[in-house]
Amino acid sequence: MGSEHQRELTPQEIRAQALEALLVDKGLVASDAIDTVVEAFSNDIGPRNGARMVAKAWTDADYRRRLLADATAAAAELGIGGLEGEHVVALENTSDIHNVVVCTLCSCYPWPMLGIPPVWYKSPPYRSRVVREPRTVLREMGLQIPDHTEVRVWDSSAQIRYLVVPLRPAGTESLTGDELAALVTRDSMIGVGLALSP
Amino acid sequence: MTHVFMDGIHDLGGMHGFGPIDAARAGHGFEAGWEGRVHGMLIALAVGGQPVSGFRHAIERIPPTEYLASSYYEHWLHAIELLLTEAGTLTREEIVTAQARIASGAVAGRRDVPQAAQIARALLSPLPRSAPQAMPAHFAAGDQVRVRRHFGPDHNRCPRYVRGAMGVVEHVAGPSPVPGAELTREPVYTVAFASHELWGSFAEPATVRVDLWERYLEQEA
Repeated sequence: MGSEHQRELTPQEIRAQALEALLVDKGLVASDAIDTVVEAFSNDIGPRNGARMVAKAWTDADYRRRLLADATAAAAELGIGGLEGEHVVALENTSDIHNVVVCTLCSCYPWPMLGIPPVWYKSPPYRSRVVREPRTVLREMGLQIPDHTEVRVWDSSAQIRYLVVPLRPAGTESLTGDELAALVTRDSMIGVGLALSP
Repeated sequence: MTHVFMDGIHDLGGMHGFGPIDAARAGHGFEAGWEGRVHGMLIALAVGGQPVSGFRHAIERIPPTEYLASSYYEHWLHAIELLLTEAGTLTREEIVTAQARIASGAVAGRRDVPQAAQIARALLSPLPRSAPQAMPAHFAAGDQVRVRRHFGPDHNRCPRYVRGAMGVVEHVAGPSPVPGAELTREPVYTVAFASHELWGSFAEPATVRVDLWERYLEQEA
């Protein structure tokens, strides 16, 4: 035996590697197609995409209008789009309305704008509770919504994918587009958080 | 033949007992390498023309105890194995044998098809949009509708927590293939429900919007 000790594979790794081996052997998948997907979600596709859209909407009133009218087209202007982003609707937070998104039935999420959803989004506690006690859930996640603010919960049960446009924080008038985008968190675009203050 | 199955454990909206949200599981990507491979496998299968359109339904058919005890990407593994064994593309014996080989140190081969990798990458970039289709819509924004309690005996995407409830149509989208009858397309309505309508008078003040296919709705008298 060599001196290198291999870590034992977990049951999940065995199951995934076995399935991939079988699919490759039978000519059903291309290994490089799988690589491409992994690399895309590890490098290019993530919340930074949605953040760019939000930052542009904050500074460009025409873009904001286009984003609210057709978010899929507005995303494509910035080269953002693809699977699970074929029909996106942007939800504007205001001082009177706070939007929060869920998929109670599975995990539907705007992949091209936000990447892979966090585990908590896909898990039973969030999926079961946010449609029934949204203010409590938001408070647990660190967000206190005033009583006078309407809370709107959006359950992505069909083909539409929702992207929350958080309120622009105060004191950001002089920031560049990149600096603004850096304030837009993934959680603020799901609706469980606010954009960061500078 | 697929069993009749529609109202499974996956329909979690409004259920109690699942405890606190684990906000620490907050990563932006895959938690482990194998998860990324599974995510890629599903897309690669679609690129290869394999029958994966029943994917969500396959996950919904996972037995309740297994569904709740396993992780998200284990659901994906279960669904891929189920769809491909039902299609006769794989057998259970082949899966078990492959797992035993991997467990005893075998290394999987590669099959690279540059064109397939290109197609996969194109699926993750803006896609061509189809021209808007003329669509007769039974309901319009502003209509009061009631969600039906019963549908056809197959896959549906109507959460139990809105069945029987009255709401207001806010938006009309589609047409979109009907779950369980994908050759048929119907409008999808964003319907807004008051929280007290869904959960009773002690509910936290809020509105819940759900996207519902036309056949799930009827006109409110």
